[in-house]
Amino acid sequence: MSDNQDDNKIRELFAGIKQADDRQAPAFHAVEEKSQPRPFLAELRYGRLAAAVLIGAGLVAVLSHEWSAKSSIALKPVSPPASKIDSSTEVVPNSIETWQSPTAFLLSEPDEPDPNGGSPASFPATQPRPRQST
Amino acid sequence: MHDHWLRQQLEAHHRESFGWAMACCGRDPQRAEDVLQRTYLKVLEGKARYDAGAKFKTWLFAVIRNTARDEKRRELLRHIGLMRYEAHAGAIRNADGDSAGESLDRSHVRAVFVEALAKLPARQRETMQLVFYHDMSLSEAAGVMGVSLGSARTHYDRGKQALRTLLRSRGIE
Repeated sequence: MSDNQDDNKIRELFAGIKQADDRQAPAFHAVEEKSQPRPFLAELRYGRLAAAVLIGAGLVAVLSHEWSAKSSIALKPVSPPASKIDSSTEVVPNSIETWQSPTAFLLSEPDEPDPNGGSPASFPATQPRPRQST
Repeated sequence: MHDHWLRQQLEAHHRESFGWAMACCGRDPQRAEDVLQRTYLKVLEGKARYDAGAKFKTWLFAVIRNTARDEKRRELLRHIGLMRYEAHAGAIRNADGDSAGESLDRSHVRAVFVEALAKLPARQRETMQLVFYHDMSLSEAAGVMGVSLGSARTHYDRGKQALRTLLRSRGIE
């Protein structure tokens, strides 16, 4: 059998299959009707996307809130409980204008009044001791 | 792409598309219809887009082929293509539904041919189908199958040789 004859024979056999397929082929409109894009499903798809975005945003908000709460606790200075603070020893901070160094009196002359409001400094006068010869 | 134009094209190629879907689905008409339905949905929803780079028919056949392959992957454990081919060939042999005018002989030859086709490797079978059933050139067949022209030519030559041998062994000259 030549190549051409082979081709013709195969073509003929395929034509037989084609005839059988044509008899079984569904009508175009029947298939097309089932293939209509369904807007409800498309909406559902977009709805799912929107829900996912909302859930994500909510999750981020909750997590960031928790994180900021944790970090504010970490940064807060630790102070003793209020019940343990002795009100008598509580130091009331002075204004910066009236503040005096607690050691300022060391700089004052004996005749000058104590800048802290005390009596003039009264350090015992120191006399140089005579050198003892041995 | 205009929806109306797409519908017109799909309708114009409907019969051929069904024949190609049959070839891609082990000659199971129900599966072929499902595949065609999914393909049309892809096309009409714009999931598969025709960019006019190839003939519409070539592009559509490639979409059908890919859809059928996806389906086959899903049903891998349910059916094996060769078994379906053979089962269908048997069904053809014993069919009551054939047209009354068709001789038993013709029906038998067709069943043997379907069986022989089923024995070919998939690529060879596809090439034979595209060239002899759908009158495509080798270049177009290569486009549908996503292979090079040289590769399509090899599948064509080997397929024809194998088919000739198989048919002779079954007494069809």
